[in-house]
Amino acid sequence: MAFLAALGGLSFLLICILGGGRLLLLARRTRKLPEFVLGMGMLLLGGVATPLAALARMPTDLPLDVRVAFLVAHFTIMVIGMAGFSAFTRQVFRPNEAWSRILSWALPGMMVLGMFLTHTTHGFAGALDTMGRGELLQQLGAMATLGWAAWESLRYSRILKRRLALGLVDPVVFDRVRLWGIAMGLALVLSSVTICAQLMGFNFLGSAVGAAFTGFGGFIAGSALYLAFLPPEPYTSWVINRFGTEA
Amino acid sequence: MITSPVFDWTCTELEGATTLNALEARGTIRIALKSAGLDAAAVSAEEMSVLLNRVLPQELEAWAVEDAAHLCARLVDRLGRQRFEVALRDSAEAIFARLGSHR
Repeated sequence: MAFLAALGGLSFLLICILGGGRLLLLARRTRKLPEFVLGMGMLLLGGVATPLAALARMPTDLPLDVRVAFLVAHFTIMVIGMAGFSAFTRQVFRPNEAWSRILSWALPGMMVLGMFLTHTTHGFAGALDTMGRGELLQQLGAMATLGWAAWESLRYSRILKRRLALGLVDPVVFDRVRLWGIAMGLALVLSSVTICAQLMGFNFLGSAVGAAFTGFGGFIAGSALYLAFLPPEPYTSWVINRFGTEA
Repeated sequence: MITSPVFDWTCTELEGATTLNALEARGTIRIALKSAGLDAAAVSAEEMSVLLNRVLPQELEAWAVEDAAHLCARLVDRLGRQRFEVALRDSAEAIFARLGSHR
Protein backbone atom coordinates (compact mmCIF):
# COMPACT_ATOMS: atom_id res chain seq x y z
CA MET A 1 0.00 0.00 0.00
CA ALA A 2 2.84 2.37 0.83
CA PHE A 3 4.28 1.63 -2.60
CA LEU A 4 0.94 2.46 -4.25
CA ALA A 5 0.72 5.74 -2.35
CA ALA A 6 4.28 6.63 -3.28
CA LEU A 7 3.66 5.76 -6.92
CA GLY A 8 0.52 7.90 -7.09
CA GLY A 9 2.15 10.79 -5.26
CA LEU A 10 5.34 10.67 -7.31
CA SER A 11 3.50 10.50 -10.64
CA PHE A 12 1.46 13.56 -9.62
CA LEU A 13 4.60 15.46 -8.59
CA LEU A 14 6.47 14.47 -11.74
CA ILE A 15 3.64 15.67 -13.98
CA CYS A 16 3.45 18.95 -12.02
CA ILE A 17 7.18 19.50 -12.56
CA LEU A 18 7.17 18.56 -16.26
CA GLY A 19 3.88 20.30 -17.06
CA GLY A 20 4.76 23.38 -15.01
CA GLY A 21 8.17 23.63 -16.62
CA ARG A 22 6.69 23.35 -20.10
CA LEU A 23 4.13 26.07 -19.32
CA LEU A 24 6.88 28.38 -18.07
CA LEU A 25 8.80 27.83 -21.31
CA LEU A 26 5.59 28.66 -23.17
CA ALA A 27 5.16 31.82 -21.07
CA ARG A 28 8.71 32.88 -21.95
CA ARG A 29 7.75 32.79 -25.62
CA THR A 30 4.23 34.24 -25.41
CA ARG A 31 4.82 36.72 -22.55
CA LYS A 32 1.27 35.94 -21.37
CA LEU A 33 0.19 35.86 -17.74
CA PRO A 34 -2.07 32.74 -17.62
CA GLU A 35 0.62 30.25 -18.67
CA PHE A 36 3.14 31.96 -16.40
CA VAL A 37 1.03 31.85 -13.23
CA LEU A 38 -0.20 28.32 -13.90
CA GLY A 39 3.25 26.99 -14.78
CA MET A 40 4.75 28.68 -11.74
CA GLY A 41 1.99 27.30 -9.51
CA MET A 42 2.38 23.72 -10.76
CA LEU A 43 6.16 23.78 -10.60
CA LEU A 44 6.31 25.34 -7.13
CA LEU A 45 3.56 23.20 -5.58
CA GLY A 46 4.65 19.92 -7.12
CA GLY A 47 8.38 20.39 -7.48
CA VAL A 48 9.27 22.40 -4.39
CA ALA A 49 6.53 22.70 -1.74
CA THR A 50 5.66 19.00 -1.45
CA PRO A 51 9.25 17.71 -1.19
CA LEU A 52 9.97 20.43 1.41
CA ALA A 53 6.96 19.33 3.47
CA ALA A 54 8.09 15.72 3.29
CA LEU A 55 11.62 16.66 4.39
CA ALA A 56 10.28 18.76 7.27
CA ARG A 57 7.74 16.25 8.55
CA MET A 58 9.32 12.87 7.90
CA PRO A 59 11.23 11.43 10.84
CA THR A 60 14.84 12.13 9.91
CA ASP A 61 18.09 13.00 11.67
CA LEU A 62 17.84 16.59 10.46
CA PRO A 63 18.22 19.20 13.24
CA LEU A 64 14.97 20.82 14.41
CA ASP A 65 16.02 24.25 13.11
CA VAL A 66 16.52 22.85 9.62
CA ARG A 67 13.17 21.03 9.68
CA VAL A 68 11.43 24.22 10.83
CA ALA A 69 13.18 26.18 8.05
CA PHE A 70 11.94 23.61 5.53
CA LEU A 71 8.40 23.90 6.90
CA VAL A 72 8.42 27.71 6.70
CA ALA A 73 9.74 27.48 3.14
CA HIS A 74 7.00 24.94 2.34
CA PHE A 75 4.26 27.22 3.72
CA THR A 76 5.65 30.24 1.85
CA ILE A 77 5.93 28.40 -1.46
CA MET A 78 2.43 26.97 -0.98
CA VAL A 79 1.10 30.53 -0.70
CA ILE A 80 2.93 31.64 -3.86
CA GLY A 81 1.86 28.54 -5.82
CA MET A 82 -1.76 28.80 -4.75
CA ALA A 83 -1.72 32.54 -5.54
CA GLY A 84 -0.67 31.48 -9.05
CA PHE A 85 -3.65 29.12 -9.29
CA SER A 86 -6.03 31.83 -8.05
CA ALA A 87 -4.64 34.32 -10.53
CA PHE A 88 -5.05 31.75 -13.33
CA THR A 89 -8.69 31.04 -12.43
CA ARG A 90 -9.51 34.75 -12.34
CA GLN A 91 -7.60 35.60 -15.49
CA VAL A 92 -9.15 32.79 -17.53
CA PHE A 93 -12.71 32.47 -16.29
CA ARG A 94 -13.61 35.73 -14.52
CA PRO A 95 -11.36 38.47 -15.88
CA ASN A 96 -13.92 41.28 -15.59
CA GLU A 97 -15.70 40.58 -12.30
CA ALA A 98 -14.68 42.68 -9.32
CA TRP A 99 -15.47 39.86 -6.86
CA SER A 100 -13.05 37.51 -8.58
CA ARG A 101 -10.24 40.05 -8.27
CA ILE A 102 -10.96 40.33 -4.55
CA LEU A 103 -11.19 36.54 -4.15
CA SER A 104 -7.94 35.94 -6.03
CA TRP A 105 -6.16 38.12 -3.46
CA ALA A 106 -8.21 37.03 -0.45
CA LEU A 107 -7.40 33.31 -0.78
CA PRO A 108 -3.61 33.66 -0.65
CA GLY A 109 -4.15 36.39 1.95
CA MET A 110 -6.01 33.84 4.08
CA MET A 111 -3.02 31.51 3.81
CA VAL A 112 -0.62 34.28 4.85
CA LEU A 113 -2.87 35.01 7.82
CA GLY A 114 -2.73 31.30 8.66
CA MET A 115 1.08 31.46 8.68
CA PHE A 116 0.93 34.47 10.97
CA LEU A 117 -1.43 32.61 13.31
CA THR A 118 0.88 29.59 13.36
CA HIS A 119 3.79 31.84 14.27
CA THR A 120 1.89 33.59 17.06
CA THR A 121 0.26 30.48 18.57
CA HIS A 122 2.39 27.35 18.82
CA GLY A 123 5.17 28.46 16.46
CA PHE A 124 6.38 26.68 13.34
CA ALA A 125 8.15 24.02 15.40
CA GLY A 126 4.79 23.08 16.87
CA ALA A 127 3.31 22.83 13.38
CA LEU A 128 5.70 20.00 12.50
CA ASP A 129 3.54 17.45 14.31
CA THR A 130 0.19 19.05 15.11
CA MET A 131 -2.42 21.03 13.25
CA GLY A 132 -3.43 24.26 14.92
CA ARG A 133 -5.78 27.02 13.84
CA GLY A 134 -3.08 28.64 11.72
CA GLU A 135 -2.36 25.53 9.66
CA LEU A 136 -6.08 24.87 9.36
CA LEU A 137 -6.62 28.36 7.96
CA GLN A 138 -3.81 27.80 5.46
CA GLN A 139 -5.31 24.49 4.38
CA LEU A 140 -8.76 26.06 4.04
CA GLY A 141 -7.25 28.76 1.81
CA ALA A 142 -5.58 26.11 -0.34
CA MET A 143 -8.73 23.98 -0.51
CA ALA A 144 -10.86 27.00 -1.47
CA THR A 145 -8.35 27.80 -4.23
CA LEU A 146 -8.57 24.26 -5.60
CA GLY A 147 -12.36 24.27 -5.23
CA TRP A 148 -12.71 27.56 -7.12
CA ALA A 149 -10.48 26.28 -9.93
CA ALA A 150 -12.44 23.00 -10.14
CA TRP A 151 -15.83 24.71 -10.05
CA GLU A 152 -15.00 27.31 -12.73
CA SER A 153 -13.37 24.85 -15.11
CA LEU A 154 -16.05 22.16 -14.80
CA ARG A 155 -18.79 24.80 -15.17
CA TYR A 156 -17.04 26.17 -18.25
CA SER A 157 -16.56 22.69 -19.71
CA ARG A 158 -20.35 22.22 -19.57
CA ILE A 159 -20.77 25.45 -21.55
CA LEU A 160 -18.13 24.31 -24.04
CA LYS A 161 -19.94 20.99 -24.46
CA ARG A 162 -22.95 22.89 -25.84
CA ARG A 163 -20.66 24.78 -28.25
CA LEU A 164 -19.05 21.50 -29.22
CA ALA A 165 -22.38 20.23 -30.50
CA LEU A 166 -22.39 23.14 -32.98
CA GLY A 167 -18.75 22.76 -33.94
CA LEU A 168 -17.89 26.06 -32.26
CA VAL A 169 -15.05 24.78 -30.13
CA ASP A 170 -11.99 22.59 -30.65
CA PRO A 171 -12.71 19.21 -28.98
CA VAL A 172 -9.15 19.12 -27.64
CA VAL A 173 -9.69 22.44 -25.87
CA PHE A 174 -13.00 21.24 -24.41
CA ASP A 175 -11.26 18.11 -23.15
CA ARG A 176 -8.35 20.11 -21.70
CA VAL A 177 -10.67 22.38 -19.69
CA ARG A 178 -12.50 19.33 -18.38
CA LEU A 179 -9.30 17.49 -17.46
CA TRP A 180 -8.03 20.54 -15.57
CA GLY A 181 -11.30 20.66 -13.65
CA ILE A 182 -11.09 16.94 -12.85
CA ALA A 183 -7.49 17.27 -11.63
CA MET A 184 -8.38 20.23 -9.41
CA GLY A 185 -11.50 18.47 -8.10
CA LEU A 186 -9.50 15.38 -7.22
CA ALA A 187 -6.80 17.45 -5.53
CA LEU A 188 -9.54 19.10 -3.48
CA VAL A 189 -11.09 15.76 -2.47
CA LEU A 190 -7.71 14.30 -1.54
CA SER A 191 -6.69 17.26 0.59
CA SER A 192 -10.15 17.59 2.21
CA VAL A 193 -10.26 13.93 3.25
CA THR A 194 -6.68 14.05 4.56
CA ILE A 195 -7.31 17.23 6.57
CA CYS A 196 -10.62 15.95 7.99
CA ALA A 197 -8.96 12.69 9.07
CA GLN A 198 -6.08 14.63 10.61
CA LEU A 199 -8.51 16.87 12.54
CA MET A 200 -10.20 13.74 13.92
CA GLY A 201 -6.83 12.47 15.07
CA PHE A 202 -6.68 9.67 12.53
CA ASN A 203 -3.36 9.00 10.79
CA PHE A 204 -5.02 8.69 7.39
CA LEU A 205 -1.87 8.70 5.26
CA GLY A 206 -0.31 6.07 7.48
CA SER A 207 -3.26 3.68 7.08
CA ALA A 208 -3.69 1.16 4.27
CA VAL A 209 -6.99 2.73 3.17
CA GLY A 210 -5.48 6.22 3.22
CA ALA A 211 -2.43 5.13 1.26
CA ALA A 212 -4.57 3.40 -1.38
CA PHE A 213 -6.97 6.35 -1.59
CA THR A 214 -4.28 9.02 -1.94
CA GLY A 215 -2.14 6.84 -4.22
CA PHE A 216 -4.99 6.10 -6.59
CA GLY A 217 -6.34 9.67 -6.43
CA GLY A 218 -2.89 11.13 -7.03
CA PHE A 219 -2.36 8.85 -9.98
CA ILE A 220 -5.70 9.81 -11.58
CA ALA A 221 -5.12 13.54 -10.95
CA GLY A 222 -1.59 13.25 -12.36
CA SER A 223 -2.91 11.40 -15.41
CA ALA A 224 -5.51 14.15 -15.98
CA LEU A 225 -2.79 16.82 -15.84
CA TYR A 226 -0.58 14.79 -18.16
CA LEU A 227 -3.33 14.39 -20.74
CA ALA A 228 -4.26 18.07 -20.41
CA PHE A 229 -0.84 19.68 -20.73
CA LEU A 230 1.44 17.01 -22.20
CA PRO A 231 -1.01 15.10 -24.40
CA PRO A 232 0.46 12.27 -26.48
CA GLU A 233 -0.56 12.28 -30.14
CA PRO A 234 -2.73 9.12 -29.98
CA TYR A 235 -4.76 10.60 -27.13
CA THR A 236 -5.30 13.87 -29.03
CA SER A 237 -6.45 11.90 -32.09
CA TRP A 238 -8.81 9.87 -29.92
CA VAL A 239 -10.32 13.07 -28.43
CA ILE A 240 -10.83 14.56 -31.89
CA ASN A 241 -12.52 11.38 -33.11
CA ARG A 242 -14.58 10.98 -29.96
CA PHE A 243 -15.84 14.54 -29.50
CA GLY A 244 -15.31 15.95 -32.99
CA THR A 245 -18.10 13.74 -34.27
CA GLU A 246 -20.55 15.43 -31.90
CA ALA A 247 -20.43 18.57 -34.04
CA MET B 1 -25.36 44.77 -19.24
CA ILE B 2 -22.71 45.14 -21.95
CA THR B 3 -23.49 43.20 -25.12
CA SER B 4 -21.38 42.56 -28.20
CA PRO B 5 -22.01 44.70 -31.32
CA VAL B 6 -22.79 41.47 -33.21
CA PHE B 7 -25.57 40.68 -30.75
CA ASP B 8 -26.98 44.23 -30.96
CA TRP B 9 -26.86 44.22 -34.76
CA THR B 10 -28.63 40.84 -35.01
CA CYS B 11 -31.34 41.90 -32.56
CA THR B 12 -32.03 45.08 -34.53
CA GLU B 13 -32.17 43.19 -37.82
CA LEU B 14 -34.45 40.51 -36.40
CA GLU B 15 -36.78 43.13 -34.95
CA GLY B 16 -36.95 44.88 -38.34
CA ALA B 17 -37.56 41.69 -40.30
CA THR B 18 -40.28 40.19 -38.09
CA THR B 19 -43.23 41.25 -35.98
CA LEU B 20 -41.18 40.70 -32.81
CA ASN B 21 -40.62 43.79 -30.67
CA ALA B 22 -37.17 44.71 -29.35
CA LEU B 23 -37.63 42.84 -26.10
CA GLU B 24 -38.88 39.68 -27.83
CA ALA B 25 -36.11 39.77 -30.43
CA ARG B 26 -33.40 40.18 -27.79
CA GLY B 27 -34.97 37.54 -25.56
CA THR B 28 -35.23 35.03 -28.42
CA ILE B 29 -31.61 35.50 -29.40
CA ARG B 30 -30.51 35.31 -25.78
CA ILE B 31 -32.32 31.96 -25.39
CA ALA B 32 -30.67 30.65 -28.56
CA LEU B 33 -27.26 31.87 -27.35
CA LYS B 34 -27.71 30.18 -23.99
CA SER B 35 -28.68 26.86 -25.54
CA ALA B 36 -25.53 27.05 -27.69
CA GLY B 37 -23.30 27.90 -24.72
CA LEU B 38 -22.57 31.40 -26.04
CA ASP B 39 -22.54 34.77 -24.31
CA ALA B 40 -24.30 37.91 -25.56
CA ALA B 41 -21.37 39.97 -24.30
CA ALA B 42 -18.76 38.14 -26.35
CA VAL B 43 -20.46 36.47 -29.31
CA SER B 44 -18.52 36.87 -32.56
CA ALA B 45 -19.88 37.18 -36.10
CA GLU B 46 -18.75 33.61 -36.91
CA GLU B 47 -20.51 32.22 -33.85
CA MET B 48 -23.65 34.23 -34.60
CA SER B 49 -23.66 32.84 -38.15
CA VAL B 50 -23.67 29.28 -36.80
CA LEU B 51 -26.41 30.23 -34.35
CA LEU B 52 -28.52 31.76 -37.13
CA ASN B 53 -28.05 28.68 -39.30
CA ARG B 54 -28.54 25.96 -36.73
CA VAL B 55 -30.37 27.20 -33.65
CA LEU B 56 -32.39 30.35 -34.31
CA PRO B 57 -34.74 28.93 -36.99
CA GLN B 58 -36.35 26.60 -34.43
CA GLU B 59 -36.60 29.39 -31.86
CA LEU B 60 -38.30 31.68 -34.39
CA GLU B 61 -40.71 28.96 -35.44
CA ALA B 62 -41.83 28.84 -31.83
CA TRP B 63 -42.80 32.53 -32.30
CA ALA B 64 -44.71 31.56 -35.49
CA VAL B 65 -42.29 33.52 -37.67
CA GLU B 66 -42.90 32.47 -41.26
CA ASP B 67 -40.07 30.96 -43.28
CA ALA B 68 -37.65 31.32 -40.36
CA ALA B 69 -34.88 29.32 -42.04
CA HIS B 70 -34.92 31.60 -45.09
CA LEU B 71 -34.96 34.71 -42.90
CA CYS B 72 -31.98 33.42 -40.90
CA ALA B 73 -30.06 32.60 -44.10
CA ARG B 74 -30.62 36.19 -45.27
CA LEU B 75 -29.36 37.51 -41.93
CA VAL B 76 -26.24 35.32 -42.18
CA ASP B 77 -25.57 36.74 -45.62
CA ARG B 78 -25.96 40.34 -44.40
CA LEU B 79 -23.93 39.60 -41.25
CA GLY B 80 -21.04 38.39 -43.39
CA ARG B 81 -20.85 41.80 -45.05
CA GLN B 82 -20.71 43.75 -41.78
CA ARG B 83 -17.55 44.91 -40.04
CA PHE B 84 -17.55 44.93 -36.24
CA GLU B 85 -15.17 46.38 -33.70
CA VAL B 86 -13.77 43.39 -31.83
CA ALA B 87 -12.18 43.59 -28.41
CA LEU B 88 -8.90 41.70 -28.46
CA ARG B 89 -9.38 39.76 -25.24
CA ASP B 90 -7.72 36.45 -24.55
CA SER B 91 -10.69 34.07 -24.30
CA ALA B 92 -10.65 31.01 -22.05
CA GLU B 93 -10.64 28.80 -25.16
CA ALA B 94 -7.68 30.67 -26.65
CA ILE B 95 -5.75 30.34 -23.39
CA PHE B 96 -6.45 26.61 -23.02
CA ALA B 97 -5.61 26.06 -26.69
CA ARG B 98 -2.15 27.56 -26.06
CA LEU B 99 -1.55 25.53 -22.88
CA GLY B 100 -1.38 22.21 -24.69
CA SER B 101 0.29 23.35 -27.87
CA HIS B 102 3.70 21.97 -28.69
CA ARG B 103 4.76 24.96 -30.77
